Amino acid sequence: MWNLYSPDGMQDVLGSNCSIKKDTEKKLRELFRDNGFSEIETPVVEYYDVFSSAGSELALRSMYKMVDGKGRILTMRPDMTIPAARVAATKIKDEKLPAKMFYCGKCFQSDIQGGGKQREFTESGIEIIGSSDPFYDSFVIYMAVEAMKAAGINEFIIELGQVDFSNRLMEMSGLKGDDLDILAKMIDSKDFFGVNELLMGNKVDDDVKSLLLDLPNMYGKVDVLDSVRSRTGDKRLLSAIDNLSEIMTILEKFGVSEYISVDLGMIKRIDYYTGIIFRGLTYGMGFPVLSGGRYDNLCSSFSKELPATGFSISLDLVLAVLYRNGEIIADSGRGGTLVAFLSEGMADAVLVYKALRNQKVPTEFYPYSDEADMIGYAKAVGMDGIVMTKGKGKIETIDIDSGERTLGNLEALKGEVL
Amino acid sequence: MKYLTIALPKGRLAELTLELLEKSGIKCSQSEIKSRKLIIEDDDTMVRFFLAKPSDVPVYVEYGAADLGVVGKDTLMEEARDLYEVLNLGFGACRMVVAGPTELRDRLDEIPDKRVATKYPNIAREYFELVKKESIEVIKLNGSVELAPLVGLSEVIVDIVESGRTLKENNLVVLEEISDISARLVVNKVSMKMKSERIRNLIENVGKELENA
Repeated sequence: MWNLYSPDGMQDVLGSNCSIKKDTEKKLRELFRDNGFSEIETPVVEYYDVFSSAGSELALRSMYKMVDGKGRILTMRPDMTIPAARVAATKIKDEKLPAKMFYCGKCFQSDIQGGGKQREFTESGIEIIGSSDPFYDSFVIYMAVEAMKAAGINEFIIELGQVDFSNRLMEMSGLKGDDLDILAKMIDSKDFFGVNELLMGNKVDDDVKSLLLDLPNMYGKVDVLDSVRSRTGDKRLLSAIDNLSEIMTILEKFGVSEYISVDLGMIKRIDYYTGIIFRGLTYGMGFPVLSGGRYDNLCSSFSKELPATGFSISLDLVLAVLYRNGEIIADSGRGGTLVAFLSEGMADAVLVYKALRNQKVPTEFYPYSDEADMIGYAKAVGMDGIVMTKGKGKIETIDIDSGERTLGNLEALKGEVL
Repeated sequence: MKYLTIALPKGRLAELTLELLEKSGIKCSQSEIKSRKLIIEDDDTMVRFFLAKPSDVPVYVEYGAADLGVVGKDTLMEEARDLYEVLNLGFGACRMVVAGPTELRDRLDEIPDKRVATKYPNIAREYFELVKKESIEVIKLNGSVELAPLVGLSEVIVDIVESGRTLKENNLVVLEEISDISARLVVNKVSMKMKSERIRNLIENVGKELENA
């Protein structure tokens, strides 16, 4: 019997953990909304075909699958970008393009867990669908910076890569099939030794070889781009570099260059990315907490050509970072005043309660017979104080921190607060 | 400044690594490592070491509990973790091989549906399925793998071989080589960027020391 447990990688969120999570969602929601994005909600369950036609192999493997009454395969969504692309391609009128959308919702992947990663996880993010303007890439990256800050993370890097660059360079090596996959894996793990060994067995152009061997080291600030530019004449490599440098120049105008770095050896993790890709890194978390990029071909799997760019941030990883770095304290209590009453004080309690609510004080009722139990409850849930109504206008207040008690009378308070 | 945390595999690799790190200018007192303390910190250089079971090192590093780690290529291949693998340290050199009784020499491909005993089920499966394109039955063992073909548990084994003496004493021979193995310096992907300067310096210094050696 598993009735006492939640499934692996899925958690109940309670108390202040839950309210901090919801507050963080709210901050992101406000940020996105105030910057011209409109919120969308898509089904948690989609047809398998939505994701299989988008061809994201990684996601296909890790999706939870079900079968509906007509024998069609349904799936719990493994990401939010593909449904957003489906919406843009099938529901948004041309005159409303580019569609600027944001979302906050649960996603599911059956094979991930550990280090803060859950199988059920909350993603919040934005997508700009219907424009190939690099300005929008810069704007999305600027929003990523703002999202990290809004979520409460102050020390972080947004690291940029370019799929066209790494793909083109690998293509120029002349390697094919399995060898090409191995090369990508080695570059992704900065395994310079392995790359060298792999290339030795193959006839590779000297310039290409030296670039490939240096690729693991091509990360850092904007000067990385300049040093590469002088080493190749290949048009596609150069245009990928130009794209990165244009985006970084615009980001300079936004004043966020201090957060930006480049890694030309970044390999795309999700198949649909086509140009710039980026991820958000911070202390206290061994994985990126944010990732995004340009995906110009995804919408075509929904029968419409719409170039697009966007990112999403993982709420669960962000909160894990904040807890680990001690920026928020789990179960810190919710504060407010407990209005406790003996049965004869019920009518007075209602008066006090409404008066406190009028002053926007967070308030909670507690009918009691045993005072010690009642005080124990107030402490356990983290209230600041207690007002007890004992009938006939008699009241007593307790300050939880100091334990100080004050006797009073409802009549006397009537002029002041009631 | 935040600590730079290095995970080392218990045993001989740890000693060799500490020697190398010391030569590369990182203070690490051997005697402290030999004590029973689990974590050794140096507040001057803000470097921190801990010893872990070798197969756990990639886990610590992938999750970011350690920024860097030293681990055998065999463990890396078996665990397939998402890490930067930045240096081949050279020591701990050996080979990952398919081995079996002498009479199977040059006849490995003649046995259909072979049973393969190994401590490295993923490496064995990957080699036979992806490289040799055949399906096998993997039998996971935790030690003394050489025993398996002798008692009829499996036809062959996949294991690491250093000198080959254990094989010889048990009338087993290397049938095929899968790959060369040696110790690697691995880095967490986020640490590499967040603590970029210190890690780059460390890699550079260790790299130079390796070239000189």
